[in-house]
Amino acid sequence: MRKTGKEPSKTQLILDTVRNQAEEARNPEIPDETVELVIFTIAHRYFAIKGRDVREILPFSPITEVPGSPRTIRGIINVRGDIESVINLHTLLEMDEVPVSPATRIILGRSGELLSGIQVEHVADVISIKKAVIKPVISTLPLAISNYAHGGEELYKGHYVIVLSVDKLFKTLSK
Amino acid sequence: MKKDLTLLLFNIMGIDFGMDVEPVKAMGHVDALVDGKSGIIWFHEKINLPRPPVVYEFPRALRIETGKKRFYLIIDKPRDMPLVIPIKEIKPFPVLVEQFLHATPLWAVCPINGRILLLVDPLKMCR
Repeated sequence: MRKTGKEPSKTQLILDTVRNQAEEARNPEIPDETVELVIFTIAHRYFAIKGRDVREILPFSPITEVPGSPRTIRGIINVRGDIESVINLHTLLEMDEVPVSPATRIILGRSGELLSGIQVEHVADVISIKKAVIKPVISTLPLAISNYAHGGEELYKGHYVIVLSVDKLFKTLSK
Repeated sequence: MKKDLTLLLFNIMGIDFGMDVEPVKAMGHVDALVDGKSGIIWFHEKINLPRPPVVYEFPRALRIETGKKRFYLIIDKPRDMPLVIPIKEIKPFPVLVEQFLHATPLWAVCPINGRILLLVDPLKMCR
């Protein structure tokens, strides 16, 4: 992973904590409430997005580049006659690109009315866990990742899994 | 409103493009254009292709006329036969992509034979 050289400042960390607390206050956790997570890898690091934010997981298909769009968008694909965008999570999270392999998948994520593909290297599993298990992300995460993180924990085979917010990802890409 | 659109297909740097043939009045070799002739636009000057440098393998010059606008547009690897597509096959760009294209001549897409054609508005090429 590339080093960004940008560590979150003390004030930023405090603001993030305050925002997280406010978010938790708005959405009080029900201890036994479970959440489904789709776990995948990007540059050999484990990430997840909530199952409710995933419409489907597609095998990799060639992506048509669209001149004029930024590097954070890989291009467009044809999903059974519908044209969908595919975002470049590697660029967005400032991580090294890994070549397409037979394990490459495109996760079709949704946030409200917005739908877009997210190219990942490997979908590892779909798990169901208690929501309360997900903790705020560790403070040492690069800002490029923590900006889009909802939380994290050792959720999969001893690996620390960063739970990404599809909402935050798509909002960043929307002007 | 017509139900079909006739497209001139071409490919530059591996990307398939389609353009309404109506304002295309002629197609010829680039060499035939008089040196220094004004009103010559190279396709890549208006479309920001992803991987420069742009290489034209079989360039052709289109003479485009509409109203008072007349210019030559240089494209690459045009298909011999135009393609007629039903209007209903044309799709808008997805929201996340479309927002970046307002200032470009790209206006829609058309999935065809497993590939995706990017549709270009020739009238926006001479802006």
